[in-house]
Amino acid sequence: MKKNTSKLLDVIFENLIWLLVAAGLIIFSSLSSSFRSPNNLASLLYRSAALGLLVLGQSFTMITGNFDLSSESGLGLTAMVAALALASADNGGLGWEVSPFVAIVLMIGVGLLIGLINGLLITRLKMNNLIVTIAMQMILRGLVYIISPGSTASFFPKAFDWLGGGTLFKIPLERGFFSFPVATLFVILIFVVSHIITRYTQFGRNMYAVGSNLTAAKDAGIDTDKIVRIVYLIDGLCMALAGLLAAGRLDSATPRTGAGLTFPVQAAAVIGGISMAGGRGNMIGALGGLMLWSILDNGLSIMKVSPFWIETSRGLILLFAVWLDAVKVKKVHQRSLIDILLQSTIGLKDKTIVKN
Amino acid sequence: MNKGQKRDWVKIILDNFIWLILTVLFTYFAVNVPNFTSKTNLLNILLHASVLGVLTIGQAIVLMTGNFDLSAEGMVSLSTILAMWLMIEPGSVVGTAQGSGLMLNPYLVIFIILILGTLSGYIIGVLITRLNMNGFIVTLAAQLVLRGVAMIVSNGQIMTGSPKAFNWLGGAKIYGIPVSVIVTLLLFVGVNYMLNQSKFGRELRAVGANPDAAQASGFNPKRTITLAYTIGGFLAAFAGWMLLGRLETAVSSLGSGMTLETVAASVIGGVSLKGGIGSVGGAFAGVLLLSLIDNALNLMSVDSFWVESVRGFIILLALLIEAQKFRYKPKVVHEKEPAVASDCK
Repeated sequence: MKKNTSKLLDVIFENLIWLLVAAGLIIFSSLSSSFRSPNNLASLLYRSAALGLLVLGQSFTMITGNFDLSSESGLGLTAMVAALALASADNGGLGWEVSPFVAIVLMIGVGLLIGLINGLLITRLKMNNLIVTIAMQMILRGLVYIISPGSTASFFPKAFDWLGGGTLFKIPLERGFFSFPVATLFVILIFVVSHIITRYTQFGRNMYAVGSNLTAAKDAGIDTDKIVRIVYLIDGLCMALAGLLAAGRLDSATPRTGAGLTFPVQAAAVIGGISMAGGRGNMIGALGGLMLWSILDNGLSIMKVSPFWIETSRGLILLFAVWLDAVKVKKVHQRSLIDILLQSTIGLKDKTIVKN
Repeated sequence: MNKGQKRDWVKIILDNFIWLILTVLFTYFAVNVPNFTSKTNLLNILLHASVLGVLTIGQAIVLMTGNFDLSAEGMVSLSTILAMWLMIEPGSVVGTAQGSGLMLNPYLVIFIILILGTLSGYIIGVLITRLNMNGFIVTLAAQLVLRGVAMIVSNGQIMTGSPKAFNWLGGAKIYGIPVSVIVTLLLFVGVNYMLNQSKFGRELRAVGANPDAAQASGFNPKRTITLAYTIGGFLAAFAGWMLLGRLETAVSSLGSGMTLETVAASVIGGVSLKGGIGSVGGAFAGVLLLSLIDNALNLMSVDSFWVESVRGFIILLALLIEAQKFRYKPKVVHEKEPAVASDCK
């Protein structure tokens, strides 16, 4: 009986994030009628799409025990590059007016290049990943300002905007329509693909191995540096796709596009159960973290809570998430210790230990 | 001189690289930038370095234990706002300074904010060491919370007019030299001496280099890390006092972006991010370098877009040097190698 309850607790603990998401949705919808309006829900989905891809990239790096704080500027840079190539000279572009396909290839190229540089600096030159990416964040943001016309570049071809700003199908409601964003479907698809990659492929297992114990992974013959480099490449790809979604939604790019996203990205990943220590957490959890963060953000601001309180509450939520992470780590440690003791021949079969 | 004591020149140069860069840059700027060597400008550089310097001491101490402190700039914001709130009159005009109307004695206020800083540092330390929470994110969240409280207290408004007694540290001059510069220099010399001579200094480095080994050899890593954060919190409040004294104005965005500068200054000055290595004296050189570059770029009226990129490159460069230091293995193994392991963690 006791074992059953602890198992139930485990299940609740593991899926706490989805309970919180549901609770957040129910609470905000019952408190505020403007929150549950179809327009607001659609804008919530649009807004979280680009953020979601950054969270995904961050989750990849965090599972291997690394960080990426440069993604917000990566998003800004890729969006600006595409905008300059697409927009006509009157609208702040360079006047090339390339086809959307070329622009997207260009963006992905820039994103991959950023990822490559990050990865090489971290693995080849053995520089601290945290500070490398902070420095990259500054450098890339500086670059965005330097290449930008100093203002907005806007009005892109329809085909380019489709992924970020298009709607897929309209669900008729009592008043108006709820139009489902293409971007959301795209992001969910990518999350599922990533989940499959991390869970069921050799590469995914290697990622977890590198994150949970670097030395052991090396000893087991895994080329850890290569794994980290690939992870940063994936992260660069995510930046470029996020830039595509952001630029498509706004139909424009400014030098400040994406600025200040690092913190929400980090927070959403941690809340979603991606461990700071590396090696734990999964992509579906990260998706939950992203949803919880977006719902809280949107809900609090739509209920006209003072922005100062929102800032404070964000900090407190993050503290709570880190505390949860710490508790989980402790639990895992305890459990493995108990397993070892039970299996050992010393004879510690006392039921008293199992209580923990 | 036997072989064991033969000096490893590469190592010495790598260790003191920062002072070399500092000298070269200073000479370059002195020759090429007009008005760079004027007395006012040199004092300006030092003034800019003073608040940053005090924060960097705290950051360097925490970094030496192998942890980060991103909360200091939040504490700077909260301590200045709270001090103002306690000292000034309640605003009669809506949208201007809103004091609490307590009008406390400035000396009492100084005492209060210093206690507050120490306490918040201690709490952060306890969260990290006792509850095993990740230091990076805890201090990031603490920064948000502290700044958020400062925003709530100040209601987002600017507060001006701190009393003279309070401003002494940041604004007064002795023989033409700002008090804050003198105090900062004394602090650096004092803390550097203390860390090099005292047991606490050895403990800091030992814990940073290898917590398990430190614990095994009788140190208490949890206590040391908590103490490091406590000192960091105290120094952050102290820096807030200094900054408010200089500006006589408080706004909740004060100090934003300083965290990164303190980490950069420490790293440039040779404090390792992996913990256990570095000195506060080196960090001071890092602070001077950052202030020097900022000042010179300003005087040359460089486009502000470039400044951000240049800063990023400088941090990257410093990291590169730091990383190479780890890879460089001295050929001659000293018999009396200092008890700091460089390849732990």
